[in-house]
Amino acid sequence: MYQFNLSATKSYMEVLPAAVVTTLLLSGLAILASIFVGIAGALCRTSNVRVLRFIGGAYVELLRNIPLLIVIYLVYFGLAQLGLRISGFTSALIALTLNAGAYMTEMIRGGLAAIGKGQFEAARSQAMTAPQIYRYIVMPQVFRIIYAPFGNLCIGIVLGSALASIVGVEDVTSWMHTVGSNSFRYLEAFLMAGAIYLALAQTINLLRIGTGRWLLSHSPSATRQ
Amino acid sequence: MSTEPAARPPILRIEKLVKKFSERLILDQVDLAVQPGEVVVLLGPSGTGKSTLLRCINGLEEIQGGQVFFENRPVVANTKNVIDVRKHIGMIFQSFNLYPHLTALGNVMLAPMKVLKESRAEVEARARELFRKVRLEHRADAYPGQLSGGEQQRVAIARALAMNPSLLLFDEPTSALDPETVGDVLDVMEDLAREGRTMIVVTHEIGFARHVGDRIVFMDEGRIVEQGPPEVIIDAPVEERTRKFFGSILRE
Ligand SMILES: Nc1ncnc2c1ncn2[C@@H]1O[C@H](COP(=O)(O)OP(=O)(O)O)[C@@H](O)[C@H]1O
Ligand SMILES: [Mg+2]
Repeated sequence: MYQFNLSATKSYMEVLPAAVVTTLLLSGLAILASIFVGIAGALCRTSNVRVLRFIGGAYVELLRNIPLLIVIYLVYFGLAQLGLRISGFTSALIALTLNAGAYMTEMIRGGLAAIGKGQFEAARSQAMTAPQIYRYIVMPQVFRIIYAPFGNLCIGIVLGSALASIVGVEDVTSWMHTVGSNSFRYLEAFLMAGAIYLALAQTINLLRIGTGRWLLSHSPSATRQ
Repeated sequence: MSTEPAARPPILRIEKLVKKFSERLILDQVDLAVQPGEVVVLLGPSGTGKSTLLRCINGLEEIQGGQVFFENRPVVANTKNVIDVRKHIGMIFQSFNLYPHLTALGNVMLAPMKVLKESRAEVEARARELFRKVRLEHRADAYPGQLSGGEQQRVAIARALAMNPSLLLFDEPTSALDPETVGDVLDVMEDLAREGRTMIVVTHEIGFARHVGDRIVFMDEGRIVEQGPPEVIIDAPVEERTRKFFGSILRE
C-alpha cells in the first residue's frame, strides 16, 4: 500500500515560492492582456463595419473551439518555424491571452448588449461625448453585469496556465512534475499542487463575492435586475 | 403667445427640412418656427415622423435637406457644434431612459457635473430644488428600478431641467405610463408651461394639447398639414385629414 508522506516533498519547498510566482505572473499578465483583447474584440463584434464584425466573430469562434493545449503548441512551435525565437513563458502567455480573450470578447459584448439603447440617446441629448458616455454610463453598467463571469474566467485562466509547463515554464505544475519524478512521491506532489491552485481560485472567488456585496450595497436595483 | 406679433426672433427655426431613411422620405419640406415661451403641441398619426422631427432638432439625426437653426446657430448632426446646442435643449423620452446604475439624484446630477463641469455642491442644490418642483423630494435617493413609471418620467424631466435648457422636447412622455400616473406627469409639464418655458410636445393627450398648448401643429405622412390655436385645429380644422384624425381620437 502507498505510504503517504508529505514530509518527503520538504526538500523541494525552497523552489516552490518561485513556481507560485511564475504561475501568478503568467495568469496575472494573461488576465490583464485578455481584458484589452476582450474590449477590442467586443468593439469589433459590435462595430458598424462589417469586416471588423467578421474578424471579431471569426476570432471568437476559432479560439473557443480549439483546445488551449493546441494553441500553446501552435504558438510555441509555429512561431519558432517562422524564425521567431520566443520563450516558453511568452508563448504560453500569448496562447492563454488569445484563448481567454475570446471568452472576454463574448462576455463584454453581452454586457454591452444589455445596456438599453435609450440610455445612449438620453446621454447624447444631454450633450455627453462618446468618451463621457463610455466612462459614466457604459462602463459602470458593463462592470456590474460582467463581474461574476469575469471572476470565473479569471479562475479559468489560472487553472489553464497549468498547461504552460509543457513548453518548459517552471510554474506550480512543473514543480509538481519535478517533485513527483525525482522523489517518486507523486500523490503528495499532486495534492500540494492541487491545494495551491485551489487556494488561488478561492482567493479570486472571494474577491468576486466581495465585489458583488459592494455593488449590491451601492446600487441594489441595478444589480438585482 | 400665438396672438402676439412675431416681433422677437424665434428660438427655433426649421426651414424646408428633408429627412430620409435610406431612400424613404420621412420628413418632407417641414417648416416650423417656435417663439421663446411658446408651447407647441405636435399631433398626428403614429409613423408620421413626429419623433424624427424632434430628433432632428437636437441633431440626433442627420438631415438630407433644409436647415435647423437653434438660437440662430445651425444644428448639424455629428459636428462639435451640435454638442453645444444640446446643452441648451432638454429631451424627454417615452421610455424615460434613466441611467439604471445611478440614483434618481445621480441621474439628475450627472450631466451638469460632467458636461457643464459645475461643482457638486452647486449641482446638488439645484437638483434638490428640481426634485421639489417635480414633487419627488422623498424619492431622490431611489434607483430607477424602484420607481413607478410616472416617478421615473418626472425624474427624467428633472434631469433635463438640471441643464437649464432654453427649449424642452417631449416625445410622448405619458404614452408608456399607467393611466393613474399620467396626471402627475402632465401636471408637472403644465407647471413648466406656466413658468414660460419653451416646449415642443408630441403627445396624444388632447386635453393637455387643448389647455396647455399655445399652438397645435398637425402632421401627417411627414408633412405639416395645418397649424394654429387649439380651438381652431382641434375643434374646427380646415383640412380633411385633420378632421378625420381628431374625429377618430375624440370618439375614443
Ligand atoms: N432609424 C430608423 N431607420 C429607418 N426608419 C425609421 C427609423 N426611425 C424611424 N423610422 C421610420 O420613420 C417613420 C417615422 O417614424 P417616427 O418619427 O418614429 O414617427 P412618429 O413619432 O410620428 O410615430 C416611420 O415610418 C418609421 O418606421
Ligand atoms: Mg414617435
